[in-house]
Parts: sequence; C-alpha cells; structure tokens
Amino acid sequence: MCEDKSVMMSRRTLLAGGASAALALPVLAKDMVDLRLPGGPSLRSLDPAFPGKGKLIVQRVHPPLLETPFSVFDQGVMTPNDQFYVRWHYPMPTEIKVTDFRLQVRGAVKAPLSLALEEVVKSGEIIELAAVNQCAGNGRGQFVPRIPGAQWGPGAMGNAEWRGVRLRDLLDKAGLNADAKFVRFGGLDEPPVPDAPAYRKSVPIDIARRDDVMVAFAMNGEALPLLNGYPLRLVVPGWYATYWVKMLSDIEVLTSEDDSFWMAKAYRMPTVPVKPGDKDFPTTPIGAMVPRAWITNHADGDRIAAGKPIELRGIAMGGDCGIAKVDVLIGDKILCATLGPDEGQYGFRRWSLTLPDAVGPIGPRCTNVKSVSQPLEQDWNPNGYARGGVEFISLVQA
Amino acid sequence: MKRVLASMLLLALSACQPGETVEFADASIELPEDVVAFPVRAGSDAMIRNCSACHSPSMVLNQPKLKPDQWAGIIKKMKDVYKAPINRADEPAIQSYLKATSAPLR
Ligand code: HEC
Repeated sequence: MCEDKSVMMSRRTLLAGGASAALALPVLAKDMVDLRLPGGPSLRSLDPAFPGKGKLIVQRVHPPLLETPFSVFDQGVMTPNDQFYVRWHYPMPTEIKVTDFRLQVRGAVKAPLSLALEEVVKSGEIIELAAVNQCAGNGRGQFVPRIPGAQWGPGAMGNAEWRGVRLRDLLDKAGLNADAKFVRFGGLDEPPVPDAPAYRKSVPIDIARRDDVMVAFAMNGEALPLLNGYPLRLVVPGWYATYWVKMLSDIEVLTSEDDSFWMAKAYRMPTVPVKPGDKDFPTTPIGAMVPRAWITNHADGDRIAAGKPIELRGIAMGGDCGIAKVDVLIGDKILCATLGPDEGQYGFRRWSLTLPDAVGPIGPRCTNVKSVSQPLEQDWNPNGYARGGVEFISLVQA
Repeated sequence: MKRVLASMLLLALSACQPGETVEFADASIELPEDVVAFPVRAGSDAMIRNCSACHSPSMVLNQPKLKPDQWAGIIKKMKDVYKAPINRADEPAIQSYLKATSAPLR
C-alpha cells in the first residue's frame, strides 16, 4: 500500500513542527492543562465539572464549550459519552419534558408533521453507524497567525456509534414537494437576545436524502447526554459538526438556498487560497471533512530514551470516506503505519508503527480512499476551520 | 438520565442491534457557575456590565493577543450580529481593557 520513499521536507515545515519541541512541559497546578497554543493563553482548567461528564477541558462555562483531553483518544477509537466534547453557541435548555417534546417537519412538504419522540423512532428502520463528530473550528487555537473564536486545542471532536432513523424516512413521511431543494434544521437553543439570528443549519436535499444521514436518539448505546443534544440530534456522517444540530426540534424543507446568518455569513470556507489580511474573496458553506491523523501516545516535547526504538500509535480519520493508508513522516523518510480494524468508514481508525529512532519532527499523514492526502502545512483560513495539515511532534532524546 | 440499554460492552459484543430504541425519560441538569472572572483592573466594571450577559468571561480571556482593530471588529460583531446592548459610554473602557488583555505577557 504505501512504500518507503524519500521526500524533501522544507525547512519551513520542519520549523513549523518542531518549534516548541525543546520546551519541557511546565509544572501545572492540579486540574490544569496546557494546550500549547502558539503565543498563548494556553492554560485551561478541568473545573468546574459538568453533570454526566468526566474531566473535560473547560473552554467556556456559559454556554458550555468543553474539550476532550487528548489522552482520551489514546484509549480507543470510540469516545465515551462522558468524555465527549460539548459545543453550544447559545444558552442550552437544561430540561427536556418528553411529553412536551415535538419534532416538526414542515415547509415544502405535502403533510407537515409534529411528532412525539415515540413516533420519531417508529418512522423507519433503525440504523446505527460509527462516525466522527468534529467541530469545524477544531484546533483553531493551533493556527498561526492566531484567529479569534473558540480557542480549541485538538480535542473538539469525538467518535461515537450513532443510532437513529433516516432523515429521508421522516421527509418521505411528510412527502417532499417537487421544488424541495434544501433542508434546514433547528434545535431548542435560543439566542440570548431575541432578534439575534437563531442557530439554523441547512444541507442540500441530496445530502438530506443520503442513506446514512439520520436523526439520532442514541450515542454509544445510550440516550444522548443532554449536553450532547438529548433527545435527538442530526447526524451527517463525514460532515462537520456544525450541521449535527442538537436538541433537534425543527426540520424545514426549503425551495431555495438558505440565506440566514449561520449559513450565509458564518461557517464558510474560502473557495480560493487566502493569506492573512486578504479581504473580499469568494466563500462557500463548509461541508465535508478532510482526512486527519494524530499521534496519541506521545505529546510534542515528550522525553524518550535515546537510541531505543519507539512505539508510536495514534488515530486517523478519512474525512468523508474511508482511510486508504497512514504513513509517518520523519526526517526525510516516509514509513508505512499498520492500520487497526476498520470500524466504519466515517469513524476513527487506529494506526501504529515502531520507529528505529525519533530524530526530528514526526508526523502521521492520512490518505483517504478518494486519494486525498493531508498537506504538509496547515491551510490557514480566516475563521480557522477545517484544520487538516500533518500534525508534527518532536520528541526529546533524554 | 435513565439508562435502559445494554451496557456498551454488551453492545460491542452483540454488534449492532437494529430495532432497539431507547426509553425517553424527562431529563434535566444543573449547569455549574463560572469560576473565572474578569481580572479586576481599570475597565473591569465595564466588561462585567457589557460582556458577561451572553457568555463567560473566558470567551474573552482565552482569545489570543489581538490588535485593537480586531477587538473593535469583535465589539462591532457583538452589536450587529448578536444584538449586544453595549453602552456607548463604556466603549473606551472596554477597548482599553481589551488592549491590556492583549499586551505581551511578561
Ligand atoms: C448579546 C449577547 C452578547 C454580548 C452582550 C456579548 N457577546 Fe460576545 N459573543 C456572543 C455570541 C453569541 C458569540 C458566539 C458564541 C459561540 O460561537 O459560541 C460571541 C463570541 C464572542 C467572542 C469570540 C469571537 C467570535 O467572533 O465568535 C469574543 C472574543 C466575544 N464574544 C467578546 C465579547 C465582548 C468583548 C463583549 C463585550 C463588549 C461581548 N462579547 C458581549 C454574544 C454576545
């Protein structure tokens, strides 16, 4: 699959990966983590604790922004519910009354629906699949130059087994009109000031009708935690989490492209290469994820015994399709990693490799089955979305 | 929240069990209070008055060092997009507080 061959790595790439390598980890107060964001501030607290959650990195209490500590990703390819990251834009409802809850299906449909939870789960075949849910801004805090917004390290993501009913079955139950073009989703969260734009996201009808796009009611075999969107959330495998609307209560079929704030102004990617400071470039809504890979058993700057082989392991994701290969770039070499079992094309997959030594920056590079390979440098964009370049670390020989 | 399904372990062993739903029960949680406040210095009163209604102070304090025009852009966005009722008279104090927040760390 992947063969050993030499590449010329530019000095810039080496510097980009190894800049902070020589720094030893600072001694931290209990329950603090250092996300090592370039230029800081970088320290985050694991307090306060949130109900139903274990230790998470508290980026913001209100509305909750909680990051999964990276060590969790070394423990397995599934992310446990109590360690799954949390991201709300607006104040989240803290109570769900089952008898009051309704899911609306409305807009360009023949028969609008207002479904109780028991009706939702009986709307079609129940399907289940593993998929990575990743915030579009995951790793925003790692970009240089830095970008305002949620200052995530690499842990605004998780992989879970999602179970639910197909969105398509709900749409067909309502009956799509011939002019249906997009489907818009809303949840129970509301802006703190009423005339601010409600959080609504939409996808083209062909995405909405995909076989694997679902309204999920379970995550890793249990009801969704409230913080992750109980009782229902949209799951769009292979697409960024901005579309996976939590506490999903409203499905609206549109006859034209959505021009509301969260589609037309936010969560957009430039369609041309941009540099910091550029203005007035064309953009399009962010959509499918890109391939990524990380080392999980060593952090940048870890000390290792000199002259001994080192075991590397990590996780990778294909983005919007499966993984073809993971190779590891070290110095001027490319080595082929061994892949763990395939537990679903949209999930994380383990990789591992034993290196004879660890001189220079080391970075795992994922290539997906569509032959998309991670670039060696991070594609900077003004909102810090879709980070996907090879993540290099350097190990210090002790 | 009531847990009614087989444990994750069981689930992994028995592969996927299509057809199984969960039992929906009323659920509620109590969110914790903020533990990080705006450091007290010139302008912190203006920050508390204008910038703490919609999000924790950490939304501001965790930002990287930004230039004054970037901060001005953020304040404009708060007002224009999120309809933040920011007191015009407080704006100079907010600006200088944010400028100090972005000062090089010593
Ligand atoms: C009316 C509500 C409201 C008020 C008041 C408010 N903000 Fe915000 N702010 C928001 C929302 C909503 C977001 C986006 C939150 C998210 O994406 O999770 C945000 C995000 C931010 C961000 C992240 C950057 C970004 O563009 O998303 C910063 C920094 C920020 N606010 C600073 C401030 C400052 C400084 C003040 C006081 C001058 C302030 N906010 C007052 C609602 C408000």
